[in-house]
Amino acid sequence: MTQQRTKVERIVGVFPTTHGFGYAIFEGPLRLIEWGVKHIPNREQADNLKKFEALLEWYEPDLVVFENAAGEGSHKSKRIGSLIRAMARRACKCGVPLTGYSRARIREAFSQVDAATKHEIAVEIANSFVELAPLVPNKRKAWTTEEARMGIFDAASLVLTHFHFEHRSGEAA
Amino acid sequence: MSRRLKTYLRAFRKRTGLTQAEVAFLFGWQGSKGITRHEWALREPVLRTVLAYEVLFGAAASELFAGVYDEVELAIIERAHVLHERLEVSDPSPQVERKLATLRRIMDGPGSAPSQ
Repeated sequence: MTQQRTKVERIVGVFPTTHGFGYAIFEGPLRLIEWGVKHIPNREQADNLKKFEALLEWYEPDLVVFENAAGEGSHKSKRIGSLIRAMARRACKCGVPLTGYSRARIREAFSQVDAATKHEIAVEIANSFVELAPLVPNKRKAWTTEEARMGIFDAASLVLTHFHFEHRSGEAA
Repeated sequence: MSRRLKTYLRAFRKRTGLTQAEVAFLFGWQGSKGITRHEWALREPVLRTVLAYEVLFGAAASELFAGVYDEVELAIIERAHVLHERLEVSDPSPQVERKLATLRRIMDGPGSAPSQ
């Protein structure tokens, strides 16, 4: 009884961006315990990996979720694709299992709540986790760059997508 | 499955939107270093500060310091088993029976009703 109560499934979502990476950490689909953006001004992969490893060391997650850069609907630059692969290797080295979801899968998960664009998904996440509401970026214009804090919502959407499909496969079983 | 974190102070604080400096101000402190140390479990707060966190976040200490609570609980349960074994072989009396009931409640884990 005590064992069950004291154990949690901790999942980290990581979303590398131009200037670092956004992250969101959940203990179950309803409990967001940490979120933020790690800024890496020099864009060095080694610095990204150092901060990522520090996250893994402190939170000791059961799973890390990345975007599947090669998946349907995902368009990642060479640098970001390489960073995701390096982070995945680092997670493996630390003994943390990992999984990935393509942009198409994220959209599929959030289609249940009629959220299709990144902004709509961010608003939907902020509705469920009010602590994130002040962080929702303004709707991006086609000629403006994406705000770094969108990385938090991208990371959260990855974890919530995982919970969505995991729950569905549990129901099917 | 993982163990709960030693402390969830950071999550609770971020949910309120307060900065570490603002929490330090509410506690009547000069700087926010102490808050950082508590949030990263580098130092355990004293009783008055634990109560201050409870007031601030409206959550029980067992939630705010869940991992520490689990460690303390486990240690108590282990010792309760030892004491239970010792008392079981002692002469039965109403007082011993009362103690055994208390120890059984502890060994049963959280949520079990306190003995009357």
